[in-house]
Amino acid sequence: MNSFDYLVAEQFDSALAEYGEGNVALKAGGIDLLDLVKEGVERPATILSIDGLDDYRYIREEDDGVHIGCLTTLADIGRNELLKSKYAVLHHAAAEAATPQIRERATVGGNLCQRPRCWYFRQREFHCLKKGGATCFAVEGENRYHAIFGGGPSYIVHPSNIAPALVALDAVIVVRSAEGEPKQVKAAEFFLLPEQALMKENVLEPGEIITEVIVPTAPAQSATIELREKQSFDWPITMACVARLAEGWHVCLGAVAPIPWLSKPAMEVVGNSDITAELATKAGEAAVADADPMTDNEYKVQLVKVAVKRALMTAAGLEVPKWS
Amino acid sequence: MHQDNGSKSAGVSRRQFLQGASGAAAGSVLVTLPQLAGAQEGEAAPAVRSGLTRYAASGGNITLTVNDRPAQITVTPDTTLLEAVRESLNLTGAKEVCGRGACGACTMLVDSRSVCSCMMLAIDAVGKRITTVEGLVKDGQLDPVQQAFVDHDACQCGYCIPGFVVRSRALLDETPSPNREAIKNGLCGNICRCAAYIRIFDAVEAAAKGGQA
Amino acid sequence: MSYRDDNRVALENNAPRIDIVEKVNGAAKYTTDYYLPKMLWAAYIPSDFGDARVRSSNISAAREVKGVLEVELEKDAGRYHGDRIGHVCAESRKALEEALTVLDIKFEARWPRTRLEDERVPLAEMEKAENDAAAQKALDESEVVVEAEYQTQVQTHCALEPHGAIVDFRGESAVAYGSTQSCGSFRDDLARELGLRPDQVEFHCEYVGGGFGAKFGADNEGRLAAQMSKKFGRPCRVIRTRKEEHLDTGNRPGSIQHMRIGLMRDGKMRGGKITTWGSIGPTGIGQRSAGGGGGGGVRNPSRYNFGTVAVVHQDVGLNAGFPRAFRAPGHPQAMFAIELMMDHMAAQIGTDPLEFRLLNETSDVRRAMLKVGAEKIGWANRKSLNDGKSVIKRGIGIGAGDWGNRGGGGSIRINVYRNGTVEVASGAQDMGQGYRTLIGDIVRTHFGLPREQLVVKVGRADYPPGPASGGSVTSRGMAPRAFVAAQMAVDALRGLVAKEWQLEDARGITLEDGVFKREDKTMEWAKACRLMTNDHLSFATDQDGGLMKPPTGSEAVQFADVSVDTETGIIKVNKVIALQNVGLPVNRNTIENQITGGVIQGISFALYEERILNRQTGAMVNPVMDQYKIAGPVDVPEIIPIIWREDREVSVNSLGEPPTVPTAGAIATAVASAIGAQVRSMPLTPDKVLAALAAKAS
Repeated sequence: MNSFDYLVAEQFDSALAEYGEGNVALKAGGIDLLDLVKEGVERPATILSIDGLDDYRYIREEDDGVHIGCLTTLADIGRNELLKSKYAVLHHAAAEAATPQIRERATVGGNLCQRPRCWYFRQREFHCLKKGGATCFAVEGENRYHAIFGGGPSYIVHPSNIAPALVALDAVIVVRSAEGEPKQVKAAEFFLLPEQALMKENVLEPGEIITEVIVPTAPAQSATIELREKQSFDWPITMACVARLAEGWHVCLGAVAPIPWLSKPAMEVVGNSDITAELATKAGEAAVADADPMTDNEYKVQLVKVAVKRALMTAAGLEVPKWS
Repeated sequence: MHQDNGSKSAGVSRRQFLQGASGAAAGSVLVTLPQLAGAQEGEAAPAVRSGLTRYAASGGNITLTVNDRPAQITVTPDTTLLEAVRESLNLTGAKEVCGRGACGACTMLVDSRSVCSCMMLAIDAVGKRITTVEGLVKDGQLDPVQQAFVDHDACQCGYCIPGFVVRSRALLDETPSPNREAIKNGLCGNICRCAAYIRIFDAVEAAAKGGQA
Repeated sequence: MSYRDDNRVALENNAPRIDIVEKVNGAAKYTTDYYLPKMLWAAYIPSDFGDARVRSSNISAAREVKGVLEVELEKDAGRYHGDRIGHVCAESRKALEEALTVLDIKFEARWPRTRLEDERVPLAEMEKAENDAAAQKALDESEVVVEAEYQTQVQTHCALEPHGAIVDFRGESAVAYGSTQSCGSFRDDLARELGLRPDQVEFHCEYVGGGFGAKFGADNEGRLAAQMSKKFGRPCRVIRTRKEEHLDTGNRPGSIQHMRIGLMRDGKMRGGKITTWGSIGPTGIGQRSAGGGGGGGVRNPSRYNFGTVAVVHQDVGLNAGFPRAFRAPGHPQAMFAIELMMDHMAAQIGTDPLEFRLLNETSDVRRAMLKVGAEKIGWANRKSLNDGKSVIKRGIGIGAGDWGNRGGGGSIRINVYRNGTVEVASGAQDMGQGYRTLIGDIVRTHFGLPREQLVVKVGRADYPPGPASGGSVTSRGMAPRAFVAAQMAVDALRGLVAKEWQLEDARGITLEDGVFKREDKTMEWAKACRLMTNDHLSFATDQDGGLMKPPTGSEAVQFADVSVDTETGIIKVNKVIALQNVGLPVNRNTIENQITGGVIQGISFALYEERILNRQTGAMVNPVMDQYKIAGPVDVPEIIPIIWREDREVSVNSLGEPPTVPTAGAIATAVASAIGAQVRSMPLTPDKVLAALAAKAS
């Protein structure tokens, strides 16, 4: 790693006061940031750590929903009975992400703000579009894991496992900065497409830090399906997160677009209906109507169909194919 | 390397600084001697706000409590927990293999939870209880998980085994009676390139059945 | 019980490996675990592109980093990603990392050669084999001609302990540590580099974190460590990074295999043409290592009787890291193609794939294994595995293999001390296969002594020489020598006992379970040892006593049972039956671990692993372990290792290579059987499975 000064915040306000000026990188668990710094993709002059601010590590039920502190780890979510019993879509997405050891350190805030896992972005050798270069190497290069929705000019897929679950739950992300009141951003509006912002993946401005996530209502039914090439630790090649809220089903896809991809066409098909196998299949087909695959990732179109279908059926308690 | 003589030039009083430090980790910090000055003499250091502990890039002293023993060591901020433990404490059981948290060979317990020590900064481990594979041996007796690995010949080259042992210990602490599938899932952050997996599963299964959680 | 008498040393010996405690408590010291006082840290400067010239370089910032002793650019061009163009040497890890971070090198990249399929000489333009006319005749005479092309990917060794060396040059001598499959070669290379005699270099490699064929000589890491240590008079450490492991320390070459085979309707193959291409590094950089391998060769045809076959091969240079021997070089990739081709041919003539194999099998041992394995996996019921309703389909496949088991030469030394302690020493190395345990168990079971009385020392170049552990030679070669040395010790002690008992000679004195006996007289081992006049007796031999028989096959047959989710293309391996001729079995644990480990590596190769190069820059896109996918715990199926013995066998078979040869073929044919279509390109990823299903449907 390059040399950096290290600031350990003992209070959240001190972190807010310090953040946003100069070449300062914010670190919670550090799973994302240290990976980037070790590779030399990021070279912060200063790292500001909020790891250890245990006041921001909580899962609690309040009148306006479940509040999850930004420093809550994915393992905390995995161990939480409330989320396990009532918020399957989020629980599954967090509890199956990465590895047990990573989940102990990966935080909710860090997971939502992590940079792309794209193999060009993650490697020093590729001066790609998102690092100020001229090329998205995925366009003419190896793109089997890249976006089939919402791509251009960059074709990354959003790396967060919990983001599509939170979008499906219509969650709210609470953001603070040194000045002004905390602001609430809908999860569905938090993430930005490359055409909206090339050098970042969300609406956060310098100096802003996620403090918590609020999940307003428990879904009547919900599920996450995560498809991977390898069943031991692997990045998903397609995810589908579905949740039945008061106004109807939310269907959000992961690992197929630069943002958690809320599938309006699939949602229109299912509306607020009870799920049947036939309806779930139709939703899956609708979900890929606007897919725009690249040279090597057309298979993801099929995966999305299946993931949406199976997620809806799982949420509805219908049987889906399982390994014998 | 501890130089807090320049507290004025660093724009913060020693008292302020200690207040900041004492706020960390609910008083569990044994010793904190973080750096005030990365600044050379006569050079103005950036102001440090209250509620922040600053460690200069040039390094400083910290105390880590590893296997129940506190040890003061000198690190730069970018030193990982793994590097600190291996290079400064000569506890070389935990290995650096992937360096990115993808293989589990560096697994240590931090406050009883298993983490990849290659992806944790040593400074972030200050005030926490760290246990390495060496520390699982108590009074010369192998931990029941270690003994089960022995009994089942759960290893080949052995390079990944400290990571598997420590992760298995945490798994059994979390889930005292995992079935075979839960064992596989619980170990999914560890890679054995020789692929002694089947013996490893057998060992963890036996350790669980032995009621030795 | 002895090696020779009842021809079974100790199959019932199920003791854990001798060094297991050190491996579970963290005490085992591997090369990477040594941090010497005043040690320097050095590393290579890599090229970032497949084919690039250095346009400009500013290394002064790196030189100015505090603690940096040397920064040198040695080359002005790199011919593959990770090619070494210079080096940095510093006084600390921190200074080294800092220097590498601030290095400013700009490259001018050229279009790289990255893909075997693009760079090979096309089939029609390949030279013809000498026997092309005969092969053509066989094709012409055949009733059915079957043609298909198969492709396999580049696999990197990714041993968990990286390549590394630590060298402490002390003027007239040196102490060195290296992670190697050949202590002798490593030491010799260092001695040459340091200008010392071999005896002046004390070389250690007591523990090795995996080798798989990529670790023999002192190599680049040893050379740099030696040069820096000599130059600065301090110990120097060079441990390759994980990225370098993927880029610059060898790989299993990729292949394309085109097969055109003619056969008769009765199932007999007449012959045909096999054309193969293998990926190597940039021409001239490919390194052939001491353990064999290093080229792009593929062992196709093999195992089955294909008739008159004309074989042509081309090594195709790419701007990418070079191949090295990798666990059964050339074999697993060949069996992927061959087993699929066997199934393909069987289908063309409407024959059961098992029957077709039995008919064309070249080995009686494998023929017997095929029958036993078929029984164990339930081959007869395979057609009823799928009910026709579920989208998850099951299938069973067959893989075969063998390995020309040679034995490596070397010596074993046994010291018997006056207090009864037995010390066995060998300069060969234990990379995890269990060599330490093998020679220890042979000696102690021959004496009938418990493990507690035994010390086994391996992995130092000043111990009696051992072979380079490549090509499955170590156990096979050294087991007989351990036995012969043990017998020498027994004979000497019998002599002492005879003298004590005032007998003319030792005839009639036996050693059983640690007790010397003759008629009604007995003497415990320890007491007999006290009869020696010196502090210890030493026995060394390089003789195999005729126990290392001519090469046998190390035959292997595997059956795989897989499930394929036909909606997603995701594959799960349910079960593998692995039959393995082990020769003379010594320790069940180490044998079973080797077999199941070979199978799992084969699964990993078949389904997940792949070096992926970017076609624009030539850089590998996945030289990290979250993107270079290796089978993990959840991917491991039930594996039933079947230890197969042939009565003719009196030698130990080494098991490094053999058990990993059949797996990819077994998995691929099982998948094909499940989905009714062949995936002819490895790894068998969901995209390819779905494409095969789509092609079948249309």
